[in-house]
Amino acid sequence: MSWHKYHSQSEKLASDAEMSVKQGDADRASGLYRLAAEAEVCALKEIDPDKVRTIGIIAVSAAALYYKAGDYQRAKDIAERWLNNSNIPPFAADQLGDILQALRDDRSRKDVGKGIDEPLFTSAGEGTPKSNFSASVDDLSLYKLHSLMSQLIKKENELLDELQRAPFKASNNRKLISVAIPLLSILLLFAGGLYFYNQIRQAEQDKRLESLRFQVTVQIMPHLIQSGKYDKESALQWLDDLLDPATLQEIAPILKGGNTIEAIAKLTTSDNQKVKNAALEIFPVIVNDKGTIYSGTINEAITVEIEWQKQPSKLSATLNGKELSVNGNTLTFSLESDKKQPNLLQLTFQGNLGDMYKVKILGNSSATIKYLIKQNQIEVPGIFLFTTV
Amino acid sequence: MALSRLPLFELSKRHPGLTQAVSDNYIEAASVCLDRHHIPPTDFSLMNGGGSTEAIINWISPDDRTRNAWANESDATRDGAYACALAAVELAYGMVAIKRAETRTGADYYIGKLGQTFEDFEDCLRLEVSGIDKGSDTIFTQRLKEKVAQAAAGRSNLPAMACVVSFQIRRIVLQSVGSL
Repeated sequence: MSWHKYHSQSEKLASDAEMSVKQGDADRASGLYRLAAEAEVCALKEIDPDKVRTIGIIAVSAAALYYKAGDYQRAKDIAERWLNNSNIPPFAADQLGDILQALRDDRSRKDVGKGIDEPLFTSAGEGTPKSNFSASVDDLSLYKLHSLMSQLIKKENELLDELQRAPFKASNNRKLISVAIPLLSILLLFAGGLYFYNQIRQAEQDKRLESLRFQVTVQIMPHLIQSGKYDKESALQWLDDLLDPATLQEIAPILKGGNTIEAIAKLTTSDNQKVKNAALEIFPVIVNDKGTIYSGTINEAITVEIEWQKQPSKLSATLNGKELSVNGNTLTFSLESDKKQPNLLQLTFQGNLGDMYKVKILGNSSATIKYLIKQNQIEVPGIFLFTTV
Repeated sequence: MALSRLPLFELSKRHPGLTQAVSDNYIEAASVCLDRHHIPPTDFSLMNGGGSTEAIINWISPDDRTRNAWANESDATRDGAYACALAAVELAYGMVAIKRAETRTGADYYIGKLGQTFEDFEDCLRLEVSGIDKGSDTIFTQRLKEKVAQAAAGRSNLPAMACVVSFQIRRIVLQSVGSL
C-alpha cells in the first residue's frame, strides 16, 4: 500500500476518533487514535526519503496520535527516533520536541487516553522509588487501570534490568529487593485486584460485594523450602507476612538464581467465598481493515462474551488450532482437566474499519490473576490475557 | 456588484481533507457561533492579500438542543472558525483542505488548489486558524499579529497561511506567511 493510502486511512481514523471524543466515548477514541498512529507509522516506511517535508509532517502526526491514544512510550519512541534523523526539517523538530516536553512534564493529560494524572514514581532519599499511587476504586476507570499496569510493568522491568547488571552492588540490592520489587509487585497485584473489583462492580451491581478481601499469595514455597531456611509451616507464615518489605530481602539470592515467583491474587467476599463468574478481563476491540486478531493462553475453562452494536461480518475462534463454534455472541468451551500446558485461544474479528466490540472474558470457577515475575521479565497473563497479533 | 457567498455548506464535497462527519461538525459549530450575534443571512468582511471584499454568510439557525450541545464556547469558536476559514480560502483563493495531519494539541489542515492532485505535502500550504467570538478591532488585530508571528517564527521553512475569524465583528482575514 502506498504511503498516501496509509495516511488517508489515518486521517479517517483520526477524524472518527475526534468524533468519539466529542461523544464522550473515551475507549473508542483511544483505540481509534492508536490505529491512526499505526497507519502513520506504516506511511513513514513508504515515503520517498527525498520528501523531507512530508516525512516531517507524518512523523509529528504519528507521535501526536500515539500521545492522544495514551500510548506515551510509543509517542516518545517515535519522537526520539525522528529527532535523531538529520533530515527532519526544523518545524517538525520543534513539534516533536514539544511532544517530548509534554511527556516529560506530564501535566496536561486531561482528555481521553491520558492515563493517570500524576507521575507514578518519584525519587526519595537515595533514589529509592517512592510510589505516588493512591486513588480510590471509584476514581479508576478501565483505561486508567490499563495505563497504570503498563507503567508498573515497565518500571519493574527497568529495575530488574538494573539488578541484572549489578547484582552484587549492595545499594542496588537494598533498593531493589527490599523496597522496589515488593512495592511494585504489590502494586501490580493491587492494581490487578482493583481491575477485577471494577469489573465485578460493573457486572454484578445487584450483589453485595461490600468488602473484597484481596488475598495475595506468592508461591515461592518450593524455593523457600529448597533454600533450607524454611519448612512448610514457616514458609506459609512468611507468605502471610508478605506485605512486610523487609522480609523480602531474604529472597535476593533466590532472584539472582533466576528463579520465578508466581504471584496469585484471588478475590474473595468478606465471608471468604470465592467470586464466581467474575470478569477476568474486559477490553475493547477496534477492527482494522485486515481484521483484528486477539490471541492469548489460558489454563482454565472460560466464557467469552462479545458485545456489539453492529454484528461483525465474521467472528471466529480457535483453541489450539481447532475451530470453536460461536453461538450468537457467546463462546463457551471446556478444557481437558489433565492438560497442564497453556492452551492457545485465538479470536478473529472482521468487519468495517473502526467497528468496535467489547469482549468480556469470564472465569467459570474463580477470579484469579497469575503473575510470573522472573528476573528481567514480567509476565502478566492474568490481566493481559489477550493481546493483538 | 453582487456580493460573493461564503460557501459554508457541504465542505466535505469540495475539501478532500474533511470527512462528512467533521465537515458537519464544523458547520454546526459555525452556525452556533454566528447565531450568537447575528441573524441569517449576514455579510462579513473578507480581507486577503491587502484587499477587502464583502461576502454573504447564510446558515441554519440552531435549535436549543444544538446550542446546548455546543455549550463549551471555546470548542464551538475553534471548530466554527475552521469552517469559516476553509470556506474563506476556497472563496478567496480557490484552495481547499487537501490533507489533515495531527499535532499534539489538535490538527493542522494543509490546503491546495481545488482540482489539483497532491501526491505529498511538499507543495501544500499549512492553514493556521484562530477564532474570536467577541472582541473589538484591537483584539482582532492583536490576534492576527500573534498568529502570523507564530506561523513565521515557530515553524520555519514551512509556508503557511494564517486566518483569523471574528464572529461578532464579522471579519475574516487571510494572510500568507513565509515563501510560497
